[in-house]
Amino acid sequence: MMAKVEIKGIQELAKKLNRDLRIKLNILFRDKVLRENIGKIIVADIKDKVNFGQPSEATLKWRKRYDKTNTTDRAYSRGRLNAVFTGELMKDLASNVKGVPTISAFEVQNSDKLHKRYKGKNGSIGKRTPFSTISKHLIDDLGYDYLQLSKEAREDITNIIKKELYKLLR
Amino acid sequence: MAAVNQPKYSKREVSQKFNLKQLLGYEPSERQKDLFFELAVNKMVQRTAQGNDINGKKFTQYSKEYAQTKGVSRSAVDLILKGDMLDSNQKETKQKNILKIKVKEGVETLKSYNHNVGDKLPTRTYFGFKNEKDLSDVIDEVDSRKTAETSSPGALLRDLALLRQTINETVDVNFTGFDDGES
Repeated sequence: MMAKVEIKGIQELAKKLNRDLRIKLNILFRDKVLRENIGKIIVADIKDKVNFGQPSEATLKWRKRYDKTNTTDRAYSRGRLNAVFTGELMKDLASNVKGVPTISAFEVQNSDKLHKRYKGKNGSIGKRTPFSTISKHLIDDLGYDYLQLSKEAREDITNIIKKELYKLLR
Repeated sequence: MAAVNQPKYSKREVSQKFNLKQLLGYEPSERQKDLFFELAVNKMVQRTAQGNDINGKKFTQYSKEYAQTKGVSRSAVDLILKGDMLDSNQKETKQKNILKIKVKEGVETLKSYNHNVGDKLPTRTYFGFKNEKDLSDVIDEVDSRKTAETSSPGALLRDLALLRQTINETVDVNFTGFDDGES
């Protein structure tokens, strides 16, 4: 499950620049701070805006049982489904924005790292599962496509990218 | 020599020679030699930065570990870490109508050699041009400046307000794979 943030117009802009600056443009896509900031905006928006409605009775029962034994994310709400429980999945998404300088884009997707086991009353439960597997299950099997982005968040990302471009090229 | 010599890849020199008189059909001016160098190097760097080799094919992917360290996807191969190697091309015009593009001697030449021939790394042949056809747009541009004055590249960027305006007007950001959350 992958989404992309693609910068358009780089070629046109590059025509006005010399080759030294063009190399810098490729380095921009690896900028750790920029990638992290894009991830933060996306995840903050998902936590704030995504709402899949009320959980089923079975889910609610599970939540009642385990939200007492696990540290839940601040955006978690027992009565609202929004792809957040402990917040690990979103933390992973925010930290896994990768640059693809060859196509002037950033890829946004969960990594193959493993989610921690949940805590139960008598110790850990379940098995460690890759974030990418959890993501696929939520989106493909359950229909909870949390890769949503509001107009405001899109504007925020566009603005920080343009700001970084300006800083780089001035 | 041919109008476009085959690139030379050795540990001591990575270079390619171009006979501008043959390519243009007349003796080039110094200004045209400079322009040819700028445009040819720009084209090579641009091609590399987009992940394509001398044949226009995609470079061999990075290893999983290296891509992770670099913070990019495995397929985003641009041979740019700090950009020193791609920025180290030099011009040599010892012969009247011949222009040589060569990588700066020393470390950058060794790095370039390793990439081009796959000595200690996967082969990623980025340096040079296959033939005259690959340079047709460069030749056309150089020929068009036979009499015209060349403008300074990047002159626009001296004006920061104009730079900001240019970025705002030229650059846009597309979001694919994201739902707008309103459906």
